[in-house]
Amino acid sequence: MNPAVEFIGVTKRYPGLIANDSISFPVFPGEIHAIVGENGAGKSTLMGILSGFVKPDEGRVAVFGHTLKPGSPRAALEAGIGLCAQHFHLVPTLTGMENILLGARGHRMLTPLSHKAQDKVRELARRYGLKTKLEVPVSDLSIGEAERVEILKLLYREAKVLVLDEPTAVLAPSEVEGLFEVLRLLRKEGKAILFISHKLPEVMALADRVTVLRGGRVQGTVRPAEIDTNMLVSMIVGGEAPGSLPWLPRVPGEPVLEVEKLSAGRSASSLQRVSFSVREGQIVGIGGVEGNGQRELVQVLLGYIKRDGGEIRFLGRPVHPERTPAFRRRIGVIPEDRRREGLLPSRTLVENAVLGFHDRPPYRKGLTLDRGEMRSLAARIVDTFDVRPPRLDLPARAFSGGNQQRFIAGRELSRRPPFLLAVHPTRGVDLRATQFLHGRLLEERARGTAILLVSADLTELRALSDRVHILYRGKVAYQAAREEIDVEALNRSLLGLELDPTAQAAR
Amino acid sequence: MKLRRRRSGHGQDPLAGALEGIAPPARRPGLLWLVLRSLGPVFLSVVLGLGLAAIFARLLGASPAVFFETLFAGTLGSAYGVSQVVFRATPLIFTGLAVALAFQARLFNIGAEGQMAIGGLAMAFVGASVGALPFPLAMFVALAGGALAGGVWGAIPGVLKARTGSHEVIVTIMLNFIAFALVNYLLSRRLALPETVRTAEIAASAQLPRLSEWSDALRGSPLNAGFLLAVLAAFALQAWSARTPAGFSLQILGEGPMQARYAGIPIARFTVLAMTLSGALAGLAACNFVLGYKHYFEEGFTAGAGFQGIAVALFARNRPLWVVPSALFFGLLSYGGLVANGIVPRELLDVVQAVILISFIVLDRALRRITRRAFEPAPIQVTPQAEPA
Repeated sequence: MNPAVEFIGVTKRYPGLIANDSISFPVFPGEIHAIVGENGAGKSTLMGILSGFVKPDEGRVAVFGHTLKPGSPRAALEAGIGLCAQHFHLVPTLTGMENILLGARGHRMLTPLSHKAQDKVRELARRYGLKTKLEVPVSDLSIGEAERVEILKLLYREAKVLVLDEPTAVLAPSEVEGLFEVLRLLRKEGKAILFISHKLPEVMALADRVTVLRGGRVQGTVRPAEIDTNMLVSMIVGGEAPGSLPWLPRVPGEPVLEVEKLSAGRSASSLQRVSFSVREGQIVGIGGVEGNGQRELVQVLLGYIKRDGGEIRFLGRPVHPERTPAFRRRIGVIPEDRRREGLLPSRTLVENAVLGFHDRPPYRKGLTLDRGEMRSLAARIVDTFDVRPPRLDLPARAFSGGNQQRFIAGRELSRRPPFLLAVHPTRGVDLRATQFLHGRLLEERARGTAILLVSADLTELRALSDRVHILYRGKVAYQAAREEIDVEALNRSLLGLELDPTAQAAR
Repeated sequence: MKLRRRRSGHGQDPLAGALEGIAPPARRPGLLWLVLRSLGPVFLSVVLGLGLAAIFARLLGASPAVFFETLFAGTLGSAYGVSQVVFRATPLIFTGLAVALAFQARLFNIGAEGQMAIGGLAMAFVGASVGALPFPLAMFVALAGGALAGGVWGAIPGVLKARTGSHEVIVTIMLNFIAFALVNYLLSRRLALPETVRTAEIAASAQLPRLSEWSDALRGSPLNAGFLLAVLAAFALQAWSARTPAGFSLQILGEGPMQARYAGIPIARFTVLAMTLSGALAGLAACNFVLGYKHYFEEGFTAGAGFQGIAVALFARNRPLWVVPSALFFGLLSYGGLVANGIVPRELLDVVQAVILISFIVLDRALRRITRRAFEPAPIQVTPQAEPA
């Protein structure tokens, strides 16, 4: 059989590193081909080359036997390559249907959508079981629904090769299963599917073959049936698989943060009478499908939005973060968006080291900033959190996601805060940095720091937390101590199938 | 298997570096490169602009050699010429600083012209009313009056932005018109001498000393102590931005409101602060004319200095200290237009100015891209949209 896509000696160099080093492997029609590797292993570059956004220095990509014109997204589209990116390429103000037909062949702007085309889209949705709302603006869709619109768009354009970049990162388990059903159906119809994921169990369950990239090179292509997850992990990290985390039972101390019947926000995901407490030496995990009140909770705690009711106590005293910005400075915060919140991308690490407390001693000496003190703090963070490359004068944007996140964590913990708010601390971060950050969170826990961990990654929540609370539509839908978690009930609660009786009573 | 690098940076664990997907950049920029990077676009764009001027001079029937000779002899050839250039640069330093300061918080102050006009009127009014005070004191009171009035005028768009989110570009542009109308109203109804469009003369004790008092070479030159104040302001602003927590807060705000919010910086307060200080600097720009040259306020005295401040700040890449040479250069072009007026129309120098600015913007961007490519490893993205900048 002729390959649908064949990478032939693809090489891409960036200054100082080789992102792709003569990569060659085929992907066949009717195959789900997973690509795994650490951040920076070269996956994204390779997909960029396939979809024409990145021009390779050497080598070529053949699609159904024809060499693809390098560096041309249009040529890639016309060759039948459809990319479903991590951040969807959808116009939020247009409906799903409009998005699908937008720019597709034979449609002009400002003309009504043809009924024939619309019927075709609905037919596709029905055939593949892609349930989504096509008549409402994309901004009103859940992430899962938006993703299905994106896939429909690719199918409508008759993509023969589907590239999915971490499609399951933000989906609930049941939605993931639905997506996999769709992909299996597409496979049966002879589409080639390239599937990028950090979640190895999914890869093992879904893929026909897995290509492992490391350091820009192909480490090997394997069949999941022939190996186990540990072998895959060691291929990815190039050595021993990292061990499991040393989570030690520990008696929590005094309550540090107490939240009682907290309500906030205006949308469907507004918080409704949420209560929990975080004690010294305790990690409390807040989980749930994205957009169920997690963001509102974080924003209330940081004082970005006002609460509509309820109480927040910090170290026994009521606090009002929206009125006293000083509260923010008494706690550590690993923010959701490291590039737009947690770092000043164009500033050096020295300046980033004091973001948020640059105006207090020892970094302020009298009326001026103490650059020496700032620099030594930055050096300390880089050293203890192993930020690479260890160059303090490089702007923050020059570091990889994992290193940026290490730096932020290091900065926030360098102040020894009694309370740490960690929001998706390992999202989009490679395995090694994830392991490192998890280790640091557990160390902080052992040291007596109270930690509120907001994460969409259930594995992470369960690995780290003393208690887990699942939010659904702004309410606590499920909560349990670590040792009492009922996985079945937890999974159901993610979709609101099983509301906690107390939460229902509070309605 | 390790990632190959052109030159290895940290040796301990090559594997880990590879896993992080980021190798240390190939090399650090050398001194020569840094100089080229910062001065290259300036130099090239000036050469381009002057080259174009030569071509136009020829087309207009003048000899380029004579044109350049007249231009440089008239401006830089004598102490008097230099003093005229510096005199014209003085308000541009202030307005350039005003624009640069606002831009540190990513605010575009297009209203320096109006703030300068308001500041000038206030300066003239205060300057005429403080005759009872002795020399330096009266002068400082008049300066403070101008800064205050300009600051209040600048604070308006700041407050509106902080309160309602209205865009400062629109508001500052519109406030220019209101400022001109207000100034004309006050002038015609209250402050103007009969049959003129100017105010009464300010008290002698409120005047900025002429530098010609100190040097015979500057006889007849309008250059005054306002220039020294302007340079002082540049140094003060530089120190404030680079060395104080408040200055750094402003720059954090300039990086993005989300970072500022995360860092616990009161965004509204710093927005107002930036626009107020910017307006105050623009107000001070009036001192060159009102306190140093004519000693009264006259309608239209701003002569576009507020708008030129945008160009000055741009050419200086919003760095306070670079604003001084940048303003001097624009002062040179402006006085050069007068000097060479007999040979070519003075508008030619305006065209040159525009050409220089445009080519500077283009070259600067291009060079910045090249620098980043050469010295920073690129965090790789699949698509341009993959992560919103």
